[in-house]
Amino acid sequence: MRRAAQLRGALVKETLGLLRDKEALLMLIVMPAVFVLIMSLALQDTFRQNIPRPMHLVFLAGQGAGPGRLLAALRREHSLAVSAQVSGDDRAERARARTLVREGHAALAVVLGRARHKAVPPTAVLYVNPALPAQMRALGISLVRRAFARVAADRLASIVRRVAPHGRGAGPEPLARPARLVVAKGGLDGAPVPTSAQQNAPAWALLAMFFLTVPLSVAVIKERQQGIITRLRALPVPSWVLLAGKILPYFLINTLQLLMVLGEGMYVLPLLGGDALTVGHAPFALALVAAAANLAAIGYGLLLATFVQSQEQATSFGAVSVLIMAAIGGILVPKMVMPAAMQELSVISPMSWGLDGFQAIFVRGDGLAGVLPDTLRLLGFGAVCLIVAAVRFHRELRPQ
Amino acid sequence: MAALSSTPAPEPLAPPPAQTDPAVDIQDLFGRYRRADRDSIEGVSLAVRKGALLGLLGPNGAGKTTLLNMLCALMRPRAGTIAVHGLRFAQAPDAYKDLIGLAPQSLALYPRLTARENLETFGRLSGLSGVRLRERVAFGLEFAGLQDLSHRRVETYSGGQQRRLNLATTLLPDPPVLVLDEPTVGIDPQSRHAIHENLRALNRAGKTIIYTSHYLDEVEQLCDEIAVLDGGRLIAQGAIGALLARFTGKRIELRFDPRSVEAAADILRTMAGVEDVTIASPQLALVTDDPYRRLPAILKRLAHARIRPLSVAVGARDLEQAFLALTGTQLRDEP
Ligand SMILES: Nc1ncnc2c1ncn2[C@@H]1O[C@H](COP(=O)(O)OP(=O)(O)OP(=O)(O)O)[C@@H](O)[C@H]1O
Ligand SMILES: [Mg+2]
Repeated sequence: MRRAAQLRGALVKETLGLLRDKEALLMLIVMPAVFVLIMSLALQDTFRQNIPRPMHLVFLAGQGAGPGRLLAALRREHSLAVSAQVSGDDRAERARARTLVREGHAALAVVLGRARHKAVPPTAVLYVNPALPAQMRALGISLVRRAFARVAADRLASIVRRVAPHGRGAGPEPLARPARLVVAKGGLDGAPVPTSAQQNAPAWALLAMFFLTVPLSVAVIKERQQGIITRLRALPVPSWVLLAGKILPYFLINTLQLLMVLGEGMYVLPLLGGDALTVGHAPFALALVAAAANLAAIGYGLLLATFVQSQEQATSFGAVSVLIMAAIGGILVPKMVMPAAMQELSVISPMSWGLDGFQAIFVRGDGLAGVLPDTLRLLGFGAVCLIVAAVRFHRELRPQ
Repeated sequence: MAALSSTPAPEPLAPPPAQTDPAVDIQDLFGRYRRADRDSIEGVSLAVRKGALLGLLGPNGAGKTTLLNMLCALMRPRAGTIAVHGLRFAQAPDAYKDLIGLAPQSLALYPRLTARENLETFGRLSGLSGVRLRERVAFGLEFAGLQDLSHRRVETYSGGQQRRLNLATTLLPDPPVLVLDEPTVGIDPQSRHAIHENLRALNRAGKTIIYTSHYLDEVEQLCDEIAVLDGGRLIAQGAIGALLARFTGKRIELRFDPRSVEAAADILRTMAGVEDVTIASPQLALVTDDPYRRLPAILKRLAHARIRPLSVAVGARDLEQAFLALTGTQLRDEP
């Protein structure tokens, strides 16, 4: 009974305090709403076409493969930057090609094998960087296919010229049979890429969630600077009640914000000429990821609040750390445009777990099972932060 | 203030006889802040009887707030014991805290909330709810004189209004012991007067009140007992009357029309029993062997010379002088 009254008191004051903090509301609600619209529209074409610059293609030819015409055809593709290397045997070249694309040194690698027999055309194997977004992967493959087709067409033309009835008898020897193109395994299968809205809506929603760190820790600092904490400490109210009072309003405002942003992506974005956000078909999984990300953000905010000593520290450290997490986690810059090494680094950012979770549902159409690992990571992070914050908060409130 | 040099050397007053059932019983208390190299409270023993209105005095840094912090279980004593209504904090923390209401020295209000919301918040945090909460909030608003402003955010209040609310918030759970750390800083005389009236009423209703202040005149008017802290030690405790009597000295102060001061001084210097006359026009201070015995004769002689004093004061003028004599320090930077 008594605890219920105390909890109510803690909740009401935090809620009113938050609702009357204009800067906080601007940051937590308006910022993501505006950013999602702007960024989704701005990046729309990038996500549709994905040709930021010519793709790097390495052309490897085993000795004696006679790559002349093929190489020339590839070089005619403006969207490919081709470098050619000749050495080694087929197998060694294939191994090299695999490494080149896997490590991100080249988007595409073509290995042209040696022709074993005049009647059997040589085989060319195309390797594609698995980290490339699907559209880019498809584009790269089709460009290479076009080059191969061109070589085949040239040969056909040479045969036609030779047998043409109005020809002057035996023309030049028809061209040799062109190589057969094989796309290496893994070249086409891979995660589908998100649309602009599927990247931007969850990304900015997550950023705003974590940005609650700033108003939350400022509120805690203010309580400490004014005599309020002294009064609270003198009252028979346990620290967990006060802490709970801080968690719930922020949880609600974050949830509200996320719903707004998703609704905006689904219904407002198309009105402005953008592609509507599609959110998959797993509302429970979505709620789970959202709640986990929310708790992680609140835990981080409370943890920071127990460490910072001044409002300046709260704002600068809070904002900077969240922005770093966002930059690493593929929030500010989509992960798919990051080099492989950065993509690997992104797993250390809780925001990346959140984004992966949302995109698993939106893009891959995953359900609960698909989002479980990311959800657990978020919950684990949030729990650790909350526990440490609770212990520190309790120590601050008890007699010194 | 030259006459003050003649006051007796300060010596602690004898504490009043130990009370059997005090509201607050502090024994041999020592307190030190973390990372401080010396104690801020050094061996304080203080018993406050139930229903007392005690003024806790001391210059800046004397340790008043520190003592109150330990009393309110905000700070752990390094040594010594504190019991409130016979209960120690360690025995029953929540019950102990329920006994005490603290008005902190710095304002303890949420600026973005209204007066009513602040009262409701702290009322609920104290465990109040329902009808009782509503009653106490109404009482608090009335106490602070803020009924008409109750819907406005505290950040829009004047300093004095905030102070009043700060005090009212403390009263909300209706604890038997009130600990008020300089509750009237920055409050205008009328409001202060109203607050004093309210506090006296609470005191009459049985509340034990511990009140720190730099305003000696205020303590003198409000409190019936004082305790004086200096350098972390208790250097005096007792009834105000007894303290004043002790430092009354042998002083008479007279105020004249400035044109008559010199003439009056000339007359007084010739009188029997008058040891010293100092002029600070239009005031005149004299030291006599026995002020109350000599005063009638003095007035008679002056009347004879057709000099009429505008005012007459006997004894140390106020607690300020007594305090100065006791601690050798001024309580406030400016009078
Ligand atoms: N947080 C702290 N850490 C270390 N020392 C402190 C701390 N707070 C106060 N002190 C020291 O303890 C002593 C007593 O301070 P306290 O605040 O109790 O004085 P006070 O009598 O309340 O003074 P004032 O009239 O200015 O409010 C001072 O010497 C002060 O410097
Ligand atoms: Mg103080």
